[in-house]
Amino acid sequence: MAIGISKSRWLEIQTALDDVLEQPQSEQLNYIEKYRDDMSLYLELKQLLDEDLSQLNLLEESALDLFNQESISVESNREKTGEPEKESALTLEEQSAIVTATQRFPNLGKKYQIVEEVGCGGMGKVYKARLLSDSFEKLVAIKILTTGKSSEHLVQRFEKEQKLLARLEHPNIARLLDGGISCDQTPFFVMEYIEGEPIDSYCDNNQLSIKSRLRLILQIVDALDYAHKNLVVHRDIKPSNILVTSEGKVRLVDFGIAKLIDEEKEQQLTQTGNQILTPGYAAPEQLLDQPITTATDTYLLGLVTYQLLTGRQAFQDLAGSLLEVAQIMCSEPPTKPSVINEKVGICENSKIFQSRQATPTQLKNTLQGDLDAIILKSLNAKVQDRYSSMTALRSDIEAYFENRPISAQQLTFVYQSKKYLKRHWKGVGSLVLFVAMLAAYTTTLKIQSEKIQAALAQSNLEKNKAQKISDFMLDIFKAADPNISGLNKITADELLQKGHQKILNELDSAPLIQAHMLTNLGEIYFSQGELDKSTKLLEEALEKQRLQSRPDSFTLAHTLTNLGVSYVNSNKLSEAQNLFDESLRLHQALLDDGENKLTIEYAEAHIALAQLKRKQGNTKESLQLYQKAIDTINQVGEEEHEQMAVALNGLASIQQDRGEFNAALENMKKAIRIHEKVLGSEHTYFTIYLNNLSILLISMERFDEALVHSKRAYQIQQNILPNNHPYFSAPLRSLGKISHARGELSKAREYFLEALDNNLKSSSKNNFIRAVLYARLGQVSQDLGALEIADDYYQKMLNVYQDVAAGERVVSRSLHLLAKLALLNGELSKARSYYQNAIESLPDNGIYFAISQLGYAQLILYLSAKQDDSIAKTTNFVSTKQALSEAQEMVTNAMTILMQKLPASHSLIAEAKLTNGLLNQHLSIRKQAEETRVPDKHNSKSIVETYKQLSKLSVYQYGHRRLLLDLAREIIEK
Amino acid sequence: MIENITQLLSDVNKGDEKAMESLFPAIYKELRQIAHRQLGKVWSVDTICTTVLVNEAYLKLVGSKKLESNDRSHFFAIAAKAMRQILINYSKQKQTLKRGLEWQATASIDELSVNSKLEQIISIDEALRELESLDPDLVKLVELRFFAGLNEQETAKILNISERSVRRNWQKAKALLARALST
Repeated sequence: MAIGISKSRWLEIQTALDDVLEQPQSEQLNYIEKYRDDMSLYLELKQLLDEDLSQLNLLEESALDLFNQESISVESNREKTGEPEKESALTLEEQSAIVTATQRFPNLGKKYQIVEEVGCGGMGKVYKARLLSDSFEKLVAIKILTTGKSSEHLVQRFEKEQKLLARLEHPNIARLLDGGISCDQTPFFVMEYIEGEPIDSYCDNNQLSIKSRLRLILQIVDALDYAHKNLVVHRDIKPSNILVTSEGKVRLVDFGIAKLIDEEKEQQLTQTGNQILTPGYAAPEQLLDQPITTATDTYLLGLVTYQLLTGRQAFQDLAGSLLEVAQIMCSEPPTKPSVINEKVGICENSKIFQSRQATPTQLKNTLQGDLDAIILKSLNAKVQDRYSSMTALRSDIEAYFENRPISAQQLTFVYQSKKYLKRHWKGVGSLVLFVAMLAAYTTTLKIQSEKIQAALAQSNLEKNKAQKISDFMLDIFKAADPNISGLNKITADELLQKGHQKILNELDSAPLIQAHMLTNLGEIYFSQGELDKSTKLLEEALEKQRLQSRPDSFTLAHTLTNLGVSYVNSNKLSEAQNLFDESLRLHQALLDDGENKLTIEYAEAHIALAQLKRKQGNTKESLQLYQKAIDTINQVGEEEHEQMAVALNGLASIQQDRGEFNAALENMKKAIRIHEKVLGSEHTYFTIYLNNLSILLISMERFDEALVHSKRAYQIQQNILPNNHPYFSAPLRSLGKISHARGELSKAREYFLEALDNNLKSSSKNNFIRAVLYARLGQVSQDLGALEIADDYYQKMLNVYQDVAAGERVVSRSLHLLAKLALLNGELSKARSYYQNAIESLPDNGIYFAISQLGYAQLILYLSAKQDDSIAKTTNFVSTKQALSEAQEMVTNAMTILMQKLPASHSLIAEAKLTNGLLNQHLSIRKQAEETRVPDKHNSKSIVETYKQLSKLSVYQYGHRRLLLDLAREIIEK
Repeated sequence: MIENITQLLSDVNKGDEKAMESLFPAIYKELRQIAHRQLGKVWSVDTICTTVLVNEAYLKLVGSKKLESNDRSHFFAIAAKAMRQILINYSKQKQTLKRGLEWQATASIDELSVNSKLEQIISIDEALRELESLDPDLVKLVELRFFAGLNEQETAKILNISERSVRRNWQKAKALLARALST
């Protein structure tokens, strides 16, 4: 290598060369003509211009970029087992390789036809081959090792191992089909040929999100779990051995083969120590030559997971040389996945983020916490500190998906409560609000804590008191930390209890804050359905404030409202009324002072009172109060406040009662929308709203829609509430009702039984709901034809009513059920007296009044039709013309009420119509006999139509409804 | 250290050979650390930029202090040389590694072509040594442009010549290197 120009000569040439190079490149060769005088200079110049610069092309790139490229090309040249290759013509070289392979493996040639070489790498060459078989064509991958020749002993071991491996049959594992030793003692394997892409490039090319990547990893976990249970360790898990098919199915290749190779190497002592370590894909025990166990696979999978999620390999950033990396790997954990990209300064438009559909911050946030912990636990240098099994790993990944606590995280209180909140986030309602103060520093809860701050500011507590509360809550935090208090697991309930104790013990010197906190805690218990605890706390809060000479009006009013709500729910209505009155007075006084503007709490007091009024049956006043609450919230400017949803829900329920179905439906849907937006769907109130919507739809007989909402409500409740929570009852009842109405009787029975089971488990005391459930079960049993069982249920219902001291009105609502059972039993006079009792004691505008009247009319009709029947004769009342007219009057009256209360298309209205028509028909038949009058054709037509309409409903195939239809058919046929 | 660097740079500027002797290892060490971090080349790495590398070293060694433009030029010239050293060492290591691999697997065509790139870089380095005795300024230019990855404008500023001269000298360097390589 020499330039062959002396320094002095160079100086001479340079002046001319500079001159030439100043010219445009295309003219340079012509330009040197002017130097032809000095022939040696001319030639020198010409030669320099003629130099072949192609070998210097790489100078035009930056040297470092070359290294980057170089690394990529090496990477992409990793073993490509089974990777699909383009159908290109084989080069001569490739062809000769195949020939060689075929020659070297004559025994292969009988069974397989080698198609092409598809890859080569550390272990040897891989060929794509065709299995020679008459019946079908199957592609296989043949891996021929180039490690050298095997000893006799090894051959035996090899064959044994290979049989073991061939037994591995799993959807995520490429099967080992065959294997052996060639005539020149080289081992080879035949594997299923997988058309797939290595997992790393698959993920990047498809821009898979972190979650999608994790789902692929779960497939690997499954495969490894299976293999481990079959005592096979993979030992060589790396992206190129994990292929993903076009359907997104993961297939692991090269299972266990590494072990065979390692054993080979052990035999070939000369090569020990020469092994090139690739710390990128090796576990410490492999680097240190220590025993390989299933935990090795855990580590290797950890490395792959690290890479797939972060875009960088673990430990990559920590050191330069392989030796250093190996040393670090054996002693230290890698950089946390969540911070790695930040640490090495990957720029934000890097493809790492793009291919994960995330910004650097999003990626960081996703990885932070659970995923960091899962990966680092897998990558523990100490074998015993890794996941004990693939099952353990799997359950942590699944827990991550479901926002449950993972085992890899320390069971710190902060972590536990964060998890709880995330899972129950909206489900715990004000618990969130409460714990928000505990965790004011966690960003997710920031908004909530701001709400608290605002509330405190509003209640005229000084700002530093808000701080005091935060500090105080942090104390609870620490006290509840399992590491300190020795608890294994902290539950929300324990937290609340601890909170309560602390509030009592330590906040005595700050009574205002204490009252505020107790009220909050009471609210939380209420939202959890813990009525007794809620009441107790709120009473405490009230008591504390009563002892104050100058209580804070706003906090006091808030406590009063909440305690009132608790009282309403425990049926202490007059006490509640007093509290609401006082609360509203306090609010009013604050408004009059001009100190306070309209507040949500003011609206809340109205809503609470509206609920009470509704319960007292004063719908008109209730409606006005709801309206006022809604107006107030609108004026406050928080149209989408959760209290708006509460108010709309109340309003809708009154509207439903008044038969204003469309308005009710609209308001209910709006309430649900607001709640979902503000507090999300994982919230108990949300499920109540959903079920209310379902009830509304059921009363409109839109069962398919109703089913969707009740099911969703039930599902959410199962996610967020503990087993046997009393809230489960409502959606179960709706589901039972829907099934019943659709004629799916045994399904309905199951739902009601489930609800009953829930009721019995969640409350030892008899309650109204239990009575309702007995009633429903009685109805279903009755329709199923199990009349004795139905009777049994009705008796139970009555017992419960007696036990809970239900008023006459409540019991009267159920009398029509007993009457119908009596009718089915043929006890007509008994039926009649039930109906008469009901009609006498029920208010004359309610739906049960209408139902009882309709039932009574049907009874008369039945009696009239069966007049000659012995049954009718044995009863001590006869059907007369007068009785028929009376029945007709009743049914007309019932119809008027039903038309008001139900949508026009409701089956009960049709039933009333049919009853009316049949009564008409009866009367006219009698008249016909007396006066030879022509039958009313119009009436007959209407009967037939209504009959047809009702016959389509499956529930009319059963029980007393069927009785009516049978009767109608008889009359029509006459 | 940082205190010293500024002093050393200005000493180098005054032609102090000893200063150069202590400056080069300092810059070299820093660059190598940064480069190694980026070039742990059993790893796949997102493309990194050499300029960033050199600038990072600059910031680490010199800090945000303002340097005399001459001192600055010296710094970059030394850094470029250090980069050359690092990358060449690296290429050689890499080659050894590859040769080490060959006992296991017959190198594929791709690997050979990769090898040839590494070899090219190493031979360019050898050609540069030839060029050094003929025209050290051209070597400096190649170091700045190729090894330190600076653009024409930056190179012009550091060498205190026009961009046009950078382009022209680049042509000259290439022609001479090509000749060295072809013989």
